[in-house]
Amino acid sequence: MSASSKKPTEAAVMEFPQKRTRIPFQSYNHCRDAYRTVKTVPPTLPYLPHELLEHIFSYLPLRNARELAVLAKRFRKTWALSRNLCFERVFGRYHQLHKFIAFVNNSFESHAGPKIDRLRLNFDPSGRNELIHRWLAVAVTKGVEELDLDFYPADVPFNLPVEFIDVESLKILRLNFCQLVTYPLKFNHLSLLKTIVLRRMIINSKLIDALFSACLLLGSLDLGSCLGASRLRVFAQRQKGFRTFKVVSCKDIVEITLDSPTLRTFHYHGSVCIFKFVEISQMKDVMISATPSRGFAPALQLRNLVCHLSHVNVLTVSATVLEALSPRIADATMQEMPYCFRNLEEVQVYMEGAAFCNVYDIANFVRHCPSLNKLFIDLSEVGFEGTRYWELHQLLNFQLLRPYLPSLKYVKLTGYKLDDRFELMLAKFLIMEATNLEKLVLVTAKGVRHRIYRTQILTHRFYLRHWQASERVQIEFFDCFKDVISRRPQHSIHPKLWY
Amino acid sequence: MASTDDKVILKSSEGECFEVDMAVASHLQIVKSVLEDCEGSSDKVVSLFIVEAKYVAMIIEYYKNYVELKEKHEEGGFEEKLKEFEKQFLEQIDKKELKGLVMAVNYLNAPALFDVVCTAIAKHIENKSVEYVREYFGIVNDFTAEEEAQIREEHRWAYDGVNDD
Repeated sequence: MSASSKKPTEAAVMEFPQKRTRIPFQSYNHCRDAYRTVKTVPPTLPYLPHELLEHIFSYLPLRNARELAVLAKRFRKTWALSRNLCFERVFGRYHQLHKFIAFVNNSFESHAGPKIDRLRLNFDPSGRNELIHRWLAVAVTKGVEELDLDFYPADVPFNLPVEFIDVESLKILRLNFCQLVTYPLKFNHLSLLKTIVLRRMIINSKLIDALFSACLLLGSLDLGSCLGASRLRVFAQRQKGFRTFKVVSCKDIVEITLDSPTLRTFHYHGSVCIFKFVEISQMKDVMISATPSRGFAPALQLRNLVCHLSHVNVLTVSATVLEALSPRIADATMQEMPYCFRNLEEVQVYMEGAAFCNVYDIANFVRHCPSLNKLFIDLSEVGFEGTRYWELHQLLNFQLLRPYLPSLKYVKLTGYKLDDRFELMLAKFLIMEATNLEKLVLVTAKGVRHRIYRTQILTHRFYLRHWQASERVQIEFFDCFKDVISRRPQHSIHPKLWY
Repeated sequence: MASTDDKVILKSSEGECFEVDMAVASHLQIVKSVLEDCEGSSDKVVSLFIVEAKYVAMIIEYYKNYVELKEKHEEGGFEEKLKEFEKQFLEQIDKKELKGLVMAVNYLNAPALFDVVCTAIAKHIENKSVEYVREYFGIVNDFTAEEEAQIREEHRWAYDGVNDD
C-alpha cells in the first residue's frame, strides 16, 4: 500500500477503505496478485489462511520450522509455535556443544506456543542439569506427550527427578542412560502412558512394579541393556491393552516372570534365563534369540520355554534354541523331545553362533511345525561340519526323516553358500518334502569367497529341479546385495541390531 | 422411520448431495451445531457452501471408517488400526488436494481428521527447501535480500540435509 509513504491526503484516506474491500478474506492477503481481486468464493486453487499455515507449521520438527522463518515477514516468528522439539546430536554435529546448548535454550525461551507434543534431547548433558531441568519444566507445563531423553553420549547417567516424567499428559516415554533419583518410587499421574522404552538404565523390580501399578493403559514395554534387575516380574493383569514386551541384552536378568493375558508379542535377546509364564494365552509372535552358553541348564530352560510357546503363530529363534531341542542320546538310544508348534505359520531361524547345530536339527525342528507356511533361514556366518557324531547318529536319521509339510509355500535361505554340501542337503530336503511349495529363494552369502558363478547356479538349478516334489515351485537365486524384491520375514530386524 | 431419522444429507458447493449416517456426521462440529440449531425441522439437508464434492467424499470416507473401526475394536487395538487406515487414506490423496482438504476440514471443524491432515502436510514439507514451500502454499517473499540473508544466518544451524524438490 503506497498510502503510508505519501503524505496522507484526503484522497488517499478516502481510497483506503476501498482498497480494503477489494480483499474479501483478510487472511488471504499473502496470496498471489491474481487472487487479490474481488471474489465471493475462495479461489479454486486453495491458498490457505495464515492462521492455518501457522498451525500446520507448528507440526514441523523445530529445525524445519526455524528454517521456514525466511518464508515471509508474517512467518518470521512462527517457529516459536513448534510442538515438535527435537534436539539431536547430529543436528549440531558440526558445532561446539556450548553453542548447541545456547541454541536449545534460546528455542525454549522464545517458545510461544501453548503446546509441546514431543521433546527429544540427545547430547552429553554433563554439568547442565539445572538448565535441562528448566527445559523439562517448560515441556511439562505445556503438556508434553512424548518425552525422549537420550543422554548416552555422557559418561555418567543423567539424574532425572521423577516429577519430570510423572506427568498426566505423557503418552510415550523413552529414556536412555538416565537415573531416576526420587525415592520412594511412586508414580501418581501416568494414567495415559502407553509406551515405555528404557535403555541403559538401572532398573529394579520396584520400578517395574511402580510403573505397572500406575500405567493402566500401558501397551508396550521395551527394556534394552538395562542393569540391576535380576528377577523381572511383569504382572499385567490390569493392563487390558498390554501387547508388547521386549527384553534385549539385559545382562543381570536371571528370571523373567510374565503374567499378562493380553500379551501378543514377546521378544527376548540375551543369555538364557529362567522363564516363568503364568498366563500368556494370547501370545502370537515370539522372538527368542539366546546367546550361546555352556552347561546343561540353559538347554533345559529353553526346552521348558518351548513347551509354553506351542500356540504361537510367528516365531524367530536362534541356533541355540534348535540345539536345545535337538534329540539327544540318553540311556543309549536317541531320544527326542516331544513338542509341537501346532499354530506356527512363520518361522525364522538365525544360525549365527551355532555350536553344533546342523542340518538335521533344522529339519527336525521343521518337522514339528505342521502348519508352517513360510520358512526363513539365515545361514550366514555358520559352517556346518561333518563331525563323527553326525556320521554315526544323525546322518541316517536325517535321511529317514519324512516330515509332513502340506502347507509350506515359501522358503528362503539367506547366506547360502553354493559350494557347501550341507546347505545343498538342506535345500534338497526342503524341496523334496514340501509337497506344495511355491517358491524357493536362495540368497548367496556375502564375501569374495562366495562369488556366484553362472555354471554353479545352473547345476544347482538342475539338481533342485530334479528333486522338487511340487510341480509349480519357482526357484530364484539372488546375490546378497541385489536381493531387494524377495519377501521379508515379519521380524525383519536382527535382534542384535535393534538399537 | 428410524432409518431416515438418523441420516443427514450434506450438500457440496456444486450441489451434489451425500447421504450420511448421523453417527458419521456428528463428528463434523459444524453439521452438528447446524442440526442442533434447527432441531424439529423436518428437512435434514446441510449445505456446505464452500466445500467441493471431492472433499466431502473424502471426509465422509474417513469418518465412516473411523466409526466402523471404533465399533469393531472397542476393547483395544483401535488406534493401531486407525493408523493403518490413515496411512492408506493419505496415500490416495494428491499433495495438491491435501491443501483443499485441510481447508475443508478446518471449515467443517472435524478435529480428528484435522490433526491427521495437518501432520501429513507437515510431513510433506519437512526437509523441503524454502522455495518449494513458498511455491506450494503460494507465499510471496516480502523480505529484501539483506533481510533474508540475515534471517538465514540467525537460523543457520538448521541448514543441513535439505531435500531439493
